[in-house]
Amino acid sequence: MINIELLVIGGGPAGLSAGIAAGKCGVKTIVVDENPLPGGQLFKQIHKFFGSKEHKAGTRGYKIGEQLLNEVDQDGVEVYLNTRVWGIFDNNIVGILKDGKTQKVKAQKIILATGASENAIAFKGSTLPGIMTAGAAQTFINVHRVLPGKKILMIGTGNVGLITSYQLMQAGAEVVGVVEASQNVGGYDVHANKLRRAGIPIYLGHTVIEAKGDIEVDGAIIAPVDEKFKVDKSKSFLIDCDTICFAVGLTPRIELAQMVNAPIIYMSTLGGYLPIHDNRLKITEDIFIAGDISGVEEASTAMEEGSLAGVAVAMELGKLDKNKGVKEIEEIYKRLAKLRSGQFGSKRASAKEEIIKKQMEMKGGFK
Amino acid sequence: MRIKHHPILGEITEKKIVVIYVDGKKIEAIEGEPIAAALLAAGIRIFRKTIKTAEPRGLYCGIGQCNDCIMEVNGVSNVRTCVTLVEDGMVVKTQVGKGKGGDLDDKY
Amino acid sequence: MNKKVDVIVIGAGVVGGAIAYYLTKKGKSVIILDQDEAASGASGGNNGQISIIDREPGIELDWAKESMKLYKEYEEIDEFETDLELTGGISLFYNEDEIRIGREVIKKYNEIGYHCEILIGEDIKKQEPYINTEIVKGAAYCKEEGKLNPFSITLGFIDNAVEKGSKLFNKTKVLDFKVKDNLIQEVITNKGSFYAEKVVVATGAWTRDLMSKLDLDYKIFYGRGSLMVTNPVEACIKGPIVPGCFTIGTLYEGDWNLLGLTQHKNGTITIGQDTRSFNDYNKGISYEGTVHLAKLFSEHFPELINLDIIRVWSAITPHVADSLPIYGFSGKYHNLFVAAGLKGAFTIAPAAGKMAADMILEDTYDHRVEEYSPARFEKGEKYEN
Repeated sequence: MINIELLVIGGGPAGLSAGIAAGKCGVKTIVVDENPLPGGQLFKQIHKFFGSKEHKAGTRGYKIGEQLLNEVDQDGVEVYLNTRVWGIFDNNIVGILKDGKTQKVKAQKIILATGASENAIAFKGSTLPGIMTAGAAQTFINVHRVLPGKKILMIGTGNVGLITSYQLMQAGAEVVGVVEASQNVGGYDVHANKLRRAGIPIYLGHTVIEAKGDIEVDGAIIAPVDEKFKVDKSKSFLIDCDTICFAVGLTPRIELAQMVNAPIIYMSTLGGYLPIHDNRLKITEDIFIAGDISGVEEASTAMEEGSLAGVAVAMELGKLDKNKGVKEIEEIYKRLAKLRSGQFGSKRASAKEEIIKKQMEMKGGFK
Repeated sequence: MRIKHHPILGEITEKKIVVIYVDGKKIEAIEGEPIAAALLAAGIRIFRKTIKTAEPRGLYCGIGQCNDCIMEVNGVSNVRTCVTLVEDGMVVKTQVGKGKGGDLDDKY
Repeated sequence: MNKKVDVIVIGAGVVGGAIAYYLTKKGKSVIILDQDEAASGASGGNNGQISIIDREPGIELDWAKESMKLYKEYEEIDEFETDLELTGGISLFYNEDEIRIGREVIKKYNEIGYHCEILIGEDIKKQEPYINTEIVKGAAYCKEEGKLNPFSITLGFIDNAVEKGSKLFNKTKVLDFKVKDNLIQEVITNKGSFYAEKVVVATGAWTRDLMSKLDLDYKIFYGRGSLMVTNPVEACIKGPIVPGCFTIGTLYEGDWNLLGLTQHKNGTITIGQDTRSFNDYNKGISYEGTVHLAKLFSEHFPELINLDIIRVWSAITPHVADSLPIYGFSGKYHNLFVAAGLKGAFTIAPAAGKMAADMILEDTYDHRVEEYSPARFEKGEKYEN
């Protein structure tokens, strides 16, 4: 059995930041990740991040990943790769699968940084080979450097859809269009304009109603939808494509939180069901969450949340002076407030507040 | 199709080439890449056929979450090809229906 | 106020479901209550096996025989799938002593027309080609055993009853009873009170707690069994496999080297073990239990170790002190019928449920069930008839 002070589950931006924050305070920490490479989805982000300098704005995602890995290394945090967590049991016992063998880890504190999974939509033919999530396309072009197809139709104009479309183009694919059911572009205009300048049509108020093809995709039928999302099939038309990507939002991965019976809440602004947490991201007596599992946001917020959870754990373990810790958390919240501002951010900010309020109302505190 | 030149990531670096066999066909793969990447590079997009209706499926989430890309690899069924790395001489087969439990096919 | 119905059935498992199904068929108005959901207890958490040679010859085997016919009827008449397959099943023995007792035990089944034999060594592989005969030295084979789909059956009963006008109330926990003149007048729940002419208790492992609200102390205890399920694979395990100690009665408390498994129609294999942790309603699973179960399976089936375990759970199952079901009208409360502790309920629930419905409506009485009467746990109380 491995005895450890802190086990962080998930080695993406949130998990690594949590490991770094705790590690800096001298908390003995292990970060586990099921992938052969750490960094979560950072390594497929080859674009420059937005925001202010303290959020590593202007740095490309994969570079941020490299920086985090360096820091983790310096702070003496161990990272177990190819390691799957298969269960959390009573008394903070965690079952991990590493090198084909199961091992028992007993951790004083646990941080869940399991991220999110991509959503799908269904239409006739939507399971054909050649239809995949935008994240899959992004991983394959930017990490594995293989094109998933030649002519790509993107569904969804959130930042993921816009950025991935642009990156597919950079990688040499032809993006034949971006389809968006609502009447407005979902993501930042900067990203949309880059596509428009490249001559890629953005079909606002449209949806895919069918994917053509017997054994693989060879086309898509799209049709206009009105404000109430009613489809007008009479005006449908065929788009020639061999690949369709879904960029239709993400859902927090909360299985492990459910396994420890953490109370769950539904928050549409944050991607759906997620664990109720307090203002230090705590969900049960010894378990914390950080990143997309606590609500789908961005890599920059995930990193701040990771630091927050790491600091909170260090304080609880007595490795960080209380006053100092409180101050650090205040600073993190100031930075988070900046990230959670503006048209989209402010909605997330109030959703986050609602969750914390809910936690305070819960009787009996933590289990 | 492999992305040899990339405006941001630069040229593809020299990597060791290995060989894998997909439904009996020999294809080249780059050491350390997932099986699914080698298949896409070779233009193969159908990885399996579903249990009930034998519909084709291929790469979907690309990060090991969805299990849509499972194939039979070196005799083992239900292997997620998007997160399983290639090895020289690997034998990969389209998975038709349920995977195999064991090797005693003649018994059933 | 809820309208008074003919019968309230407490417990939406296979036993309560079967009873509600037959009562509804006979035109009665039925309300089914469950503290959680249909098939959320032992009925949804088991291996779905038909077991014969762990039962004493008598009414249970008659029920078993009739139930197999009834399952066929459900498929034909009500169109709910049972996935019933009489594949034959084996009970595992690990040493000469167990095999010797096993030989004795199967004699009595052969005498009454069952097809049983003891398989030794490599012969076991005729039934289960992947079994490791280094560990498993012998097995009792019974041709009349098999497997079925517990979810489909339990839900089939309940959906049918609901379709024909009965009502199911999920997440409805019985808090108390109101009694007058030795009759239950009112069933008080977290969702209000319910009223009926008769009340059926089919609450399995929870029966003792529930009956304590009526000042009755039924000696029905419970244990936790852990199970896991693999992803679907081609057929590699033919019939149900159960621990031999259930058949030969060598089970002792604390033994957790028990392995039972079934491969289902959809290709998944459920692997289960009775963890023998008694008197604990905790449905959680433990690291040790899960790993142990996986280890047991891989020792028994070394060629199948590449199967992926996709889910693990536990189920609470009842054990009656004298190993007999508790089945019949209460001696104390004249409108209370109990059907609990029916071991391996899927083998007998259709016929036992059908008979229970008849008994509840006072259409029939079979003297063979007398020894199952709940009255045996109501001694000390004044028995009025």
